[in-house]
Amino acid sequence: MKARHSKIGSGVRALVGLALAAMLSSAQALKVDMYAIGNWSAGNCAAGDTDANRPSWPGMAQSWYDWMGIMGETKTGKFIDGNMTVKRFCDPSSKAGCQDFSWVDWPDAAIVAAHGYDAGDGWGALMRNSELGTCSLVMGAGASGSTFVGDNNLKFLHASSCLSLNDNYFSKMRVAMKKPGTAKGLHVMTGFHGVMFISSSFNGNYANTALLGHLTAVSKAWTSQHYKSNQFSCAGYDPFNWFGTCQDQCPTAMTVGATASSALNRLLHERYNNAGAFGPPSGRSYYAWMGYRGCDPVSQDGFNP
Amino acid sequence: MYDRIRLLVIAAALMAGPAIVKAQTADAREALRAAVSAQLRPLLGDSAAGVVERLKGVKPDGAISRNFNPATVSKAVFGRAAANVAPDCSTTQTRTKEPDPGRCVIQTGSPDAPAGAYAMLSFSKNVGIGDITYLRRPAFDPKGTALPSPVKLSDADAYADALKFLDLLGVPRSEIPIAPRGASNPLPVRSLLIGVEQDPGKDATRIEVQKVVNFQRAFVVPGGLFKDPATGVELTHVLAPGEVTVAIDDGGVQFADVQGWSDAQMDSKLDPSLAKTTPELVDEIVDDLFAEGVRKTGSLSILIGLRKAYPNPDDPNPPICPVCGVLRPALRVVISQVGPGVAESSERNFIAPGVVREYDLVGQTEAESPAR
Repeated sequence: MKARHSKIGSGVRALVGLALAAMLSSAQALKVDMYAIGNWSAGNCAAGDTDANRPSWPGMAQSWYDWMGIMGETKTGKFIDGNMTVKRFCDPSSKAGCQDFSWVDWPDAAIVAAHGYDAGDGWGALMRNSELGTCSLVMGAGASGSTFVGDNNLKFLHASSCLSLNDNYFSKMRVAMKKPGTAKGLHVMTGFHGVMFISSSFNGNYANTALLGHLTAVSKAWTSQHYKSNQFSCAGYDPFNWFGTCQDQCPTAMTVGATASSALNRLLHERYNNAGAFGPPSGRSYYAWMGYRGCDPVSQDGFNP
Repeated sequence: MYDRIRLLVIAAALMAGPAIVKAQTADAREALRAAVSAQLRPLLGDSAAGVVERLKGVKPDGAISRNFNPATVSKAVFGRAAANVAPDCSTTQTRTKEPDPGRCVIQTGSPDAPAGAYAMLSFSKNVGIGDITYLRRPAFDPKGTALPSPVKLSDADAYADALKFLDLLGVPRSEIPIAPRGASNPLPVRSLLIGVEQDPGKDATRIEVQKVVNFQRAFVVPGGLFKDPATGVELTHVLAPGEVTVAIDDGGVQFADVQGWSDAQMDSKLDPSLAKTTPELVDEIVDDLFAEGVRKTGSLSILIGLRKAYPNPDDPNPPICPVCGVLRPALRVVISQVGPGVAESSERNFIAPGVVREYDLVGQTEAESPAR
């Protein structure tokens, strides 16, 4: 019965997507990759730690990936578990052996699903295997960050990861979005302030991010689809948060720009299918961000940059 | 000497390793079992039978399919603008005479226009499936320097406007739960905040650009669902599949997304005699969460709800609306590794995502894995 349910659900979305995709131009299809870890226990960064495993996680990332394909983009790489190491995410300017130009910075849009942590005002993500002396991708976080993306191809980066874009990261994250001395940079980054949640019932939100991100700003598509208001930690008597026991899932987004208006314009209007109209950010003197005021996630204070 | 001692310690640890791991696993499982059991018993007592009996009395009577009028909605949202209706909107059946699960798309403008205005209304052709999306995208100047206007609408006005828009879409008011008097958080409204800064805290611009209203669907349970023994709070509604988000600014509704607000009725074949006992449910939940990797319990929430299920395709007497499915009593379990308050994190102390799962309260006549 479960299989039948899934088939009907995906069928509905597929038909919507086909109807809309037919109206969209495929002249400048984006290259799209996904990087997801669901099993850590068989790797060496959390060897034997079955508590770390989240088998339903790659399916959420794949919903976005498959839907980018349905919307006319080109699916160029689905990487799940395997030898997921920092080499795929770090920039060669930070350490010899880093190869992001062949991996996450090779496509135009990518999603990364992995356990997260606050690496010191930046996103740390736990890899499956150790490489180059570390088990972590670190983006932002000042000098300790080794991930700079967008200097090659990447324009849109979605982090499906707890604490991936907390409200205290923005100023340091901008450096990772526009590597010093390069012409190009990341257009839009999205993530979560605080803990995110996994459920196959949320797969549709990842699919809808891909769909809506072709119709409205990617930042709005992400924040509208992943905002889960008062659905977590509720007391049994308080499913609607009338008595204030519930918590939220808090999506966030950010951009950079040489001016305040360029960063804001990009945040409010850049879609997957109009990235050419914006071009790469010409500077990172300013950073713009989006989130829900007071959004109250597990593990962090309310969103209040 | 020290090397020898160290070797002995390592050897002893290696020999004891599997036993320690086994003991830790057993401890984690028992801790999880205790946490689940402690929350479940006040909700259900010894068995789900009482709750299932009460939920059998729920009568979904709104039916979005009766209330939704595409022509009325289209006129209201597009006005006089010439909207393009997709050619397949008039069909509600596939070529093989099955109900068409697809959507009708009506739009103005081009979705591909780099900076042009665009609006879209899409809805399930068989609207009993319960999916409706409306979005409006204004034209903009990519080189523009004007700041967006802050929203002046109050939370209360945004809430009222959202309800009016949902009336237009045909979402039954009776299925939108209204907070009781004395509720500390009566309005499910938040502001979408944007900001731009050069240096942290310096020259910061912060603008609330939209009010966002979220509703989770719920049905009134005749006679009430449950009274919390600790707080005395009486729960009169049960969560149901379906949620809606409405984003509004001073120019009106910019985005509305109704998801899964289907015409599903309660499963007529629901048999309270097959209700699971609390120990059975505890076993099922613990086994499933363990398989999903959950070991630590920082925060656990268990709610009674209804879940959407699909009838057995071989059933000779399926429900009236096969594409809508049926509603079955279930538990919605939400668990996260970290608990209340701000959690410190590091590479060694990474934060794992929380997990949301659903479990049927009534056993099926056929073997079925937990609902996800």
